[in-house]
Amino acid sequence: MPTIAEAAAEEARAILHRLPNRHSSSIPLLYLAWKTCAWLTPAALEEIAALTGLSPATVEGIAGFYTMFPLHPRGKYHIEICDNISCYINGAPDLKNHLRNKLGIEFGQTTSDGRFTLDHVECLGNCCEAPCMQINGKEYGRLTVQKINEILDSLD
Amino acid sequence: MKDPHRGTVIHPRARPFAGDAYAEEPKRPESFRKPVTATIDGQSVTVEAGTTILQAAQILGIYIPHYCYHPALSIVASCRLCLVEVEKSPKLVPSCSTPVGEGQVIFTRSDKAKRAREQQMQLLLINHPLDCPVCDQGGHCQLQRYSMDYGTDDSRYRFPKRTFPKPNLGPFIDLERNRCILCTRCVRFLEEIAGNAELAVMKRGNDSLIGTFLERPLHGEFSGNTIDLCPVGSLTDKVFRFRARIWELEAKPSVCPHCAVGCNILLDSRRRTHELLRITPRTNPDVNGPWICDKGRFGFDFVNSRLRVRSPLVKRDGELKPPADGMDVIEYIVAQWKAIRDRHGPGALAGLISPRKTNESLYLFQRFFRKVIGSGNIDHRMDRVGLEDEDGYLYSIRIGARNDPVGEVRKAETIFILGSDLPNELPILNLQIRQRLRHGATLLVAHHQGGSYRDLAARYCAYHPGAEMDFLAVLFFLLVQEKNVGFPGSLIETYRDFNSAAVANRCGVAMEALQNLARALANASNATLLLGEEAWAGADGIQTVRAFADMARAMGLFNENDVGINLLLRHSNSRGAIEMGVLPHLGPGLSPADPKGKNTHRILQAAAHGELKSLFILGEDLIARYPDRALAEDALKRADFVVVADTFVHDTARAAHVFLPIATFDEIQGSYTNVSGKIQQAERVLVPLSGTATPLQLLQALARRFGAEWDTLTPPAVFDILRRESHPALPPNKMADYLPFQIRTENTEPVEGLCLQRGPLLFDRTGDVIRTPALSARSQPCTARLSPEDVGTLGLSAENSIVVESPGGRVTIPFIMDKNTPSGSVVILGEYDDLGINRLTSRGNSRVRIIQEGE
Repeated sequence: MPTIAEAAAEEARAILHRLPNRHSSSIPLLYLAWKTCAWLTPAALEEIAALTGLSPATVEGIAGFYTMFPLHPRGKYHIEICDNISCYINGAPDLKNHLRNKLGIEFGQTTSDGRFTLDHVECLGNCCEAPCMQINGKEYGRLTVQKINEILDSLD
Repeated sequence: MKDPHRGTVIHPRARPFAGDAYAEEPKRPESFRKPVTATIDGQSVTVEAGTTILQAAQILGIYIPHYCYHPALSIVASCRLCLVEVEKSPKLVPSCSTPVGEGQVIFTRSDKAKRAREQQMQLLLINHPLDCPVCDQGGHCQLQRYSMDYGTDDSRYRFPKRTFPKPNLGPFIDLERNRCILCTRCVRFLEEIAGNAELAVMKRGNDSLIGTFLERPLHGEFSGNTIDLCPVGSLTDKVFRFRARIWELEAKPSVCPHCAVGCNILLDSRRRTHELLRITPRTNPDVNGPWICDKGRFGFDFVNSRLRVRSPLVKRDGELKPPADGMDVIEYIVAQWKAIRDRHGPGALAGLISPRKTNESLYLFQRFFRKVIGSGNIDHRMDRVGLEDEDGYLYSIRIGARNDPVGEVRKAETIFILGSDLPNELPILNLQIRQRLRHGATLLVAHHQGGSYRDLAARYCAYHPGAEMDFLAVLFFLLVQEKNVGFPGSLIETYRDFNSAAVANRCGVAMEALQNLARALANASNATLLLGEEAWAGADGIQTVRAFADMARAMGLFNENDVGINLLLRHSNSRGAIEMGVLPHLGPGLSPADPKGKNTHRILQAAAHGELKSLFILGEDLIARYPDRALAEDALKRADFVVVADTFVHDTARAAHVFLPIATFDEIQGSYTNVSGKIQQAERVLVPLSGTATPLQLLQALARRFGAEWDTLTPPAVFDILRRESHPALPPNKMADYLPFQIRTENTEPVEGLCLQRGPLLFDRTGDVIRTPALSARSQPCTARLSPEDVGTLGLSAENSIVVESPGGRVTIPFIMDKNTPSGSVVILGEYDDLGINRLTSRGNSRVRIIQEGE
């Protein structure tokens, strides 16, 4: 795995130069590490700590605050299903159960073949099509059990 | 029944909540820059603008409950327990973060405020497991206390409680996240005070938890303070855990026995089981503030060790065994000593005592040898080889050095440390330096190896090992130029033919770095100069002190009373040992000794040559500690009669003819003098373990058999005598002019092998540490640090250990590649009594050979 310094030294330097203090540089650097390392590896967190002068624990705390930062490797397809109010009353709890059973994993986990990672997501701003989910950023609305099956089957 | 030994007992429940007593003294109204007047619960109070409502209420004696607020930490206002009502404010305000406004009318106990607290207590307790019966905090828990005082009887929460996995934070601290209320005191302490933010709040919202990076164990030196800071049972003391309930304990004031700062502590003991169970800090703003280091807090379990010897031992058939029935060991020792004295004169006897003993013990020890036996052969310096009686420290006293590092650091704006890896020597002073740095002070460090301050210091110069004097000579030269004070006349001879570039080159520091350091020192305001033991105890020690004092003079750091240099010491009563006159040439109060005697090195040499017949070693494992191990071994082997008094049987004890078990620090009443000369009293917590005696009792028993009348000498009585006799007549500033010093002119020629460097390490493995399970678990493995170049040249592979070999012996240890280690050096830090590293430095040797293990 390339380090940030190896893969994107220029960008990292630009971030540290552009932003006023070490705390403010940490989030752009986390994005950078995500891009270069595919997920936020412990080594990447330590490297950001060394670059910003923050402690590794603080960097992990910052990364962990934002649930979209991947602190574990993700599968090929990242399924995020919304369970906020509109989706909830339109049947999200049943769909969540269906996804768990179908994939055989809990929320936050990845299938053993590395294809699917299942996560909750807060409101996707698509309540008119509730219940909805997104896979790798692409949104799917008006979900039913059957529709979910079709979507998953259509993925290679 | 009245117990004369009970002394001051502080009931655990009467203690202030950790750190609360640390609030600064309220200022007097006339000194306020801008006064504000407000009314709190009907009482009017005038405070300086910027004072918070909580602080103002404290002045009036009104207590506002709080969890997250701590006077020594930044304010986050997250626990919401200190909410108070302010007239005309639509919402309640957190009193810990809201400054008092002019004319404000504040109610801390109005119905609205009370109700808010009740609600908040319910919210804090939603996920709390309420496992008080098995929680160690039970009895001194702020959650319990506030539940009683401000909470409701019932909770309205009816759902499953959230639970978290339990991490392992190492041997000192237990983290139970389910009890945590996320006040973040621990996080802020480690980040703001200790300087290494090892704990952080991970995740978010309902999932928030306190954690370390990848759940690794804590590694700092001050993590134990988070136990005191934690208001609930989330961070508890792993060593103390489940051993007692807080109300069974009896706390007595004492002084930490580990380093020369002498942190004030409370010893918690349970007399029923004769156990010392816990150590907590005792707030003293002049010494340690409200903190102590982990070594001081957790380094006590050896006193409860089953390996402690409970009866005198006498050597029979080459082995130490309990004395035969009816044998009076003291009588036996005295008879032997009398016989030796009659045959060879009093000069054939010598005594060495550890500088960790009380002033009373040290005083009586020298008095016993000088007055009763009639021998002047005494010393306390057993961890360094000194050929001369005089050393840099004693010299500094003669010229009137300030020697108040603890007090000086507290107000310094620039701190210059030469020749000390301070965080490993005097950890709490390191904490204070870090606090000064947070307030904008500048740290300048010169040290011979990759010391702990490398990243923290504004300027860091690494000179070659042993080149302190060269370094100082150039630094002083540049400082005088920077200061533009005119070159001092008395030093013209010193600096004749001086080539600063050549000397700088010889000590291995770039001229530019020296120039920058000199400039920083020249422009420094309110500077504090600290000189470590490595620098003043070396062969050039006195010259180093002279040059250092000249530097202080050039910087204007002197007055009619003293010269502004501060020398550092290592042991808890090193200063006391000097002032009590446990020195071959100086008596109590630095008076000339009568009779004069030999120093440690000369004593051991004489014993090894058979001229000195008997040694009495009190409280130190000489063989493990003395750098010239072979000499110490020879001396003890050759001597006719060796008496060792200590807590455990160690290598030195095994070489003894008689071993006397002595009491540990918690069983001894007495005083200690810290590195700043502050005399602090420690109380006796437990009676000495049966079969052991305090050094005082021992010396008195010996003296009595010699016919001396010492019967009435209790510790306070001895203290009275020594206060009269040994009050250190500290000379005033004797430095009328710059002191000439010598600069070595010869070049050190390269010798074969690598140069072995020793140094202190906080978590090493001395005899007491080995017998203290928690400290032993925390101790760092002994390693050799090598420069990458040397690792390459020697072709070492990191997978295997290496053998470090010298004519004195060999040790097999792992090595680490360290880019801060100069090439040609091998650095082994810390004392490892189980490995005997000092074998390598036998016979004054400092060169070693390194080979890969198995070759």
